[in-house]
Amino acid sequence: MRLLVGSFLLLLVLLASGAAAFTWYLRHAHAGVSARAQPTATEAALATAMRSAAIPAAVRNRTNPVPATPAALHEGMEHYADHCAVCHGNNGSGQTLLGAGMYPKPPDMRLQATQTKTDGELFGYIENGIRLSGMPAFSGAGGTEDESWKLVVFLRHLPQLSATEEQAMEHLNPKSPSELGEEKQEADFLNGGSH
Amino acid sequence: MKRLLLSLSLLASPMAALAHGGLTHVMGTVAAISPTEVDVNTTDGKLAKVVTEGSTKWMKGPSSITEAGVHTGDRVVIHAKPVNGKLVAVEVAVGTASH
Repeated sequence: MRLLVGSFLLLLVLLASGAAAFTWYLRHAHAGVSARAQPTATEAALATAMRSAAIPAAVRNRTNPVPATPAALHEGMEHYADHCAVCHGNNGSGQTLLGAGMYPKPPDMRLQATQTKTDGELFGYIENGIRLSGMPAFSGAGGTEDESWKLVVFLRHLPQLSATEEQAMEHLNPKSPSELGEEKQEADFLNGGSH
Repeated sequence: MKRLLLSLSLLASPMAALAHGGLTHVMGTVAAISPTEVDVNTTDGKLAKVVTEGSTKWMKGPSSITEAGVHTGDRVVIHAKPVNGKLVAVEVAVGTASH
């Protein structure tokens, strides 16, 4: 009985010590719980492995049923500029105001780490989101699977995105009423109107 | 209530920065131009100095132009990013109206 109580107390002490050490780590070695921090290599590797393992094989093995035609690419680009670019950037770099403040940060989707994923994996991330990240699930949000597959077509095009295409996307990004008003004011000014 | 207001202001602050996409807009007429700088008499009566660099885009309407296509007196709208206390031009749009 004494051994049992002793073991229980030792366990409590170990748990309390562990909690205290973890709290100290969060506060001092990890900048609190700031989303500005970068995940450690270990955390990133574990999370990536778990995320990958969590995708059902039936989804992973799906191939894009939408052919990569210019029309599909354009539709994917329009959709991406409207819904995705605010975090991922028009060029897919993830270098945006919102992306920089996320934990984990959006990846540079032009790189191999994203481009080597299967069509099904990319489709799955768009449809179902990624837990404990800023990536929401878009299925059930009024869109269709077809639209998500066109996004996959566009994601595959990101490494070849031209400067002209990127510039055209700026006109497709969502704007607030004040931004639209400001754009009109600037256009009027450039066209010789009064200010 | 104070907490609610603080939360709302924290939520709103990134959107305020987004309103300009993180860029400062300079609107006015060109007072002087050199290979590295455009001085602008702004519409609110100030003089703004904007640094230009190789990556600066120069536009006239929908067409790309070069810096040589910009002259003193031209109407411009410059989208610039603040870097080390200076404004660095990302894009310079030049007026299409003659002057």
